[in-house]
Amino acid sequence: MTRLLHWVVDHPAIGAALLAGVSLVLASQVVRIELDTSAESFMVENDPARAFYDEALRKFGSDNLTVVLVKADDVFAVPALQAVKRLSDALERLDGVTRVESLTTVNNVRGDDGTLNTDPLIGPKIPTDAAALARIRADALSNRVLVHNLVSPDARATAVVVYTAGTAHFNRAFTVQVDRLIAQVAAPGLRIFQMGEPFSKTTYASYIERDQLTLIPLSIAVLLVVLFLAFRTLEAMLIPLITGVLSIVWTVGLMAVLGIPLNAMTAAVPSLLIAIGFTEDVHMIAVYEELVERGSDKLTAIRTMLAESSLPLLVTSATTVLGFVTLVFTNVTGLVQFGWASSIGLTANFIITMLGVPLLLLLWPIPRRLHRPAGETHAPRGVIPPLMHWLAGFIVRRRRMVWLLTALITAGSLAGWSALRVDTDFMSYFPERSEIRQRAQELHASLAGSVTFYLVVDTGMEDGVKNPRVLRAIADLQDYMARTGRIDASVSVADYVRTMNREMHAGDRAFETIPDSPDLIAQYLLLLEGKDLAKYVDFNASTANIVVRHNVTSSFEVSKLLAGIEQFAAATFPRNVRVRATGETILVNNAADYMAVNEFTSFGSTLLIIGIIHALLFMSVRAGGLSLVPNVLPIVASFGIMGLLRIPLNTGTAFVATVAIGIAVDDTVHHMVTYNRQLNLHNDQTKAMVATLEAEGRPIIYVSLALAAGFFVLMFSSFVPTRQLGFLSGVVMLLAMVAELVLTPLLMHSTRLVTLWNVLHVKMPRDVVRSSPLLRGLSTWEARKLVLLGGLRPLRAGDYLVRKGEAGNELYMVVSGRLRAFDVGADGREVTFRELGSASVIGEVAVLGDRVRSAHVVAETDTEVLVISDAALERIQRRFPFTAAKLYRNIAAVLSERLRDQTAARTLAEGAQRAEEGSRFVLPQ
Amino acid sequence: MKRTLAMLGVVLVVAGSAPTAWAQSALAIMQKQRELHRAADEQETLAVKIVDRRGAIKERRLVRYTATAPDGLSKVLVRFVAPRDIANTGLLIWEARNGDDDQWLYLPGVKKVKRIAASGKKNRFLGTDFSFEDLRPEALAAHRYESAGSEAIDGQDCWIIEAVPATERQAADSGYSKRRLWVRKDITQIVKREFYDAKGRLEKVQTDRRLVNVKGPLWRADEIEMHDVQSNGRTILTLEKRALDAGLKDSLFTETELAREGS
Repeated sequence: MTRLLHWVVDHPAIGAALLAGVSLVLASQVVRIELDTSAESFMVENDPARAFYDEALRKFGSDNLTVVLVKADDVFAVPALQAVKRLSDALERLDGVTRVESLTTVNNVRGDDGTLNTDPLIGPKIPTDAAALARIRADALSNRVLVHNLVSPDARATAVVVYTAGTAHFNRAFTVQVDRLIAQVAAPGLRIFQMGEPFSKTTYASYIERDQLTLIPLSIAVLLVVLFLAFRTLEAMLIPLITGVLSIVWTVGLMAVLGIPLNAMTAAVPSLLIAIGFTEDVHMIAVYEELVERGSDKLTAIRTMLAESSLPLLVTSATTVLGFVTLVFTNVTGLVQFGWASSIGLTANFIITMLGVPLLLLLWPIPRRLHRPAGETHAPRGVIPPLMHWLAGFIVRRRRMVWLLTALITAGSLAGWSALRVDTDFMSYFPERSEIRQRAQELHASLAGSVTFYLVVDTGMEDGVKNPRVLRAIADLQDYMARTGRIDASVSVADYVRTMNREMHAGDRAFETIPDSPDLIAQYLLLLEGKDLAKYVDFNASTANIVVRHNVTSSFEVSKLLAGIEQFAAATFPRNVRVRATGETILVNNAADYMAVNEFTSFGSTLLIIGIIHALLFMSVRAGGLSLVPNVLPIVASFGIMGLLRIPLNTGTAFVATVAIGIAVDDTVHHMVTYNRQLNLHNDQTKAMVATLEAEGRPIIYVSLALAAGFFVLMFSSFVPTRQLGFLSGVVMLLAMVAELVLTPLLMHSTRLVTLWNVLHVKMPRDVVRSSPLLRGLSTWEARKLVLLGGLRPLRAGDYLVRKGEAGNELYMVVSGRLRAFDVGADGREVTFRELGSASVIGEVAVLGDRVRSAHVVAETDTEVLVISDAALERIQRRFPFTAAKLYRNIAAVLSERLRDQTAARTLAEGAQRAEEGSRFVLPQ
Repeated sequence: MKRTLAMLGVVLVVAGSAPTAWAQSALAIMQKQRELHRAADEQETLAVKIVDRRGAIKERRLVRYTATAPDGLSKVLVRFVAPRDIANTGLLIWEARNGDDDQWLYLPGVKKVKRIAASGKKNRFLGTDFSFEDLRPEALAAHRYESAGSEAIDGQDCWIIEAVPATERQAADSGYSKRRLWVRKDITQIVKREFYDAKGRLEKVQTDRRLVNVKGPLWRADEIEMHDVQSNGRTILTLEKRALDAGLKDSLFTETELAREGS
């Protein structure tokens, strides 16, 4: 991949044309993006509860409720009734309205001795005489179907209840129309407003819009400013912005092409791209600037930067994308769409970053600040290098304390978890003093809340509802709900039957009961049958529907309430009757809870994926596991904070962890790769750690601070979910920063990583591997592993590899160059034992016996030797036993060969001596 | 022969009034059809099949007695026969010229006759797709009729007549802003009706089928279907038994008779 990227750097015009071309094509598609604000896309697909809900809607009509509240000193006075009538008449004519209930639309059953009146409560004309008005008041206030539901017992509030069935775009237009109608009937002494699903959704949308249009741009601006202050270069600020904007254009364009709509979740993808995209860019730019500062020329710096960054970037992008792709397997359309949109977006961002950053850097002049006069040595600048230096020391010295603190924070967080609860509360999204909450409160206080659900009573048999036991149980259940104090109003067929029975007995309240005779119930229902009753009992009278109104918006509270209702129902109804709650709010809340839990648990799979990829990358399961710790900890802590601060887990707050893990993984991979490189360079863990912190500390700190600042700006939102997202994300950014700076180095200090990356990059000539007695039988792959676990040491001509008399525990193999083993005789003359060329083995005796070096070895030319310490040998033994076995066999072979050589040499020497002595004897001088 | 004369009369009226008073001719057709198909008394047993939009079916059976006085006003007694739990539930209607009909209801479950208010004309009749007003004889004085051309239905040429409420009271009482009626030209019998709701949208379509010439110029449909096109529910009335001009006594149309079960 590096080669491909280098090619792009060499042919910038082609790369730029490619980027610009795709961007233009996709930009042209952006306008085609669809908006989806429907609730359906956030319901669980193939959910039996959903099928049940759909069936209930088919039977009993829409549960989408709008309440127009009319408040007056006396709602039975002409002005209020006039307003109700005009509103009802006009609302009935609006498109999408399926049913209007108000004092002027309802029928009233009233009986005396000889007559039964089932006329509308109020005739076509509002009467003006006091007697008629008094009659209406008396009728209405004694009708259990109307009181609490359409009129308050104190007659100071009444409502026009409107059921609607509209498409996604319906709500806003409908809300506007209703407001216009309200303005038309406004009169002194009347307070009229609307509340309900369409109004809530419209308000919700407008809050989100306001945040999208003002706060998010502001937050990005803050992020940019912080980045500029940190890096003091324009490119560190503008390049991430450009790649970020391009990523958003690509993503939205692709979403439009693929038919993925913008919904409440996918709308967050741009923010996600900015946050995660920035991290990548800044890492790359930091490496580039570091190189330029050290004196590299621009092109070399870019090429080196690409060589160093491409693999970590690929890995981090792959892990994050895989993490988001898991959401595609969930059951909620909206969440599936989010999974696709985010994975597509992050893939696009990867391509744009890999191509765009080098190209933009190529265009950009090197900032003057980074220019150094030739010959001036590099000196660390700013506060961060010394800080990192101190930090490294601190980590090494106080590792116990660091671990202890980590454990304490983790324990504290986990304690917070116990207080963590899944809760979706639509109303709590709005500030306490907001219009919508005040309306909800006022409606609830003066009449009945506009939140609604159906309690479906299924008897499983035709005419089952006509059973007096069932109707009595329905009436009891309604009484129970009223007693809980949480339910404002409920209407059922039992109310109609009770009222009818009373009126058939001349209005005697003693008969406001369910009659004992199923036949009489059947006869009452025959009279009542029609549009009014269609909402409360189905065609074959096998299923009844209790329409419940309340003001409880928290999914947690609703679940509690429903559990109580179901328990009561189970104890009250005949055995074969099933009572089940359903409604849009219930389903959407359930789905929201499901999504929150799903997002939450998807971290499990995300973490697993990250772990596996890292384990592969570092060729160690342990390293894979270790790399997760600094990622998991901030998230564990953030959920703990949520628990402690009573911030509920919902789709919005669960999202925090999603963003956090995306960013944290980036940091960790960069960190580990850099550390590994440093370790190979320095061959000293502490030194490597310091160097890594110096190199990676700057981007990690700056990006984290910038993102945290950007997120904290969101706390100024008037929209509570945005506020929570801002706060939590900001905190998580800071926690992730600390974990990255303290935990990652500490973890790495205690392990030695070999990365796949290095293995692929090490230059180990094949012929050396083949010809070396040490590496005999090893695959190139094993040889590379060995090289990495050991280390390459470069020597200049004249450098000593070992000196005679030194203690030594390292084994060497010549990779390239030539060395010479020699000793200095008593006369000061050098006696060369051997010339050591490529593949020769040195020090095999010392490494096994820990002995003193028996000769000097000096480099004759520039040389590279592979160094294997006994510690490294031990490591190889532990981690790659098969390789180690081959290696030891080879060392043994080398030793035995050496022994044979020496024996032969000695025999030769002795023979020579003897020959010498013999000659002396033979040839006395 | 009689029919031919009647037809001729209509044709003459239409021809004579054209082109100045189409409306009058439409009214004349309506008057004609009401006159032509009136019986002195009538007894029918009807099977009522109510089908909801998903095909679920409810079946009822009722007997309807109708007597029409020489002044043209009718009295109707409806009594359910089946199903068992509503058997003997009855409704007695005395038509009034001003539209304020008298109605009494008998529920066997409470064994009481109650006079019931009659203004809820737009309400559906006992769970069917018919409204009370659909079952009343055509109130000719309360509507304005206009001719809207001709059309063949099942091969039979029909006049199309549009009826709109002519009085404020009718406009308020009726659930319809307009009705379109198809009147067969040969027998002056309404065979199809379209009902338009207050918003002007088509709400229901009534189709009369299996027409039989029961007596003289008098025709009846043995099957009437009311289709609510908005809710897609239907009610089908099927004749099981009919007796015409059997001399029903006036005493049948009383509260006492209404409360007598099992007749």
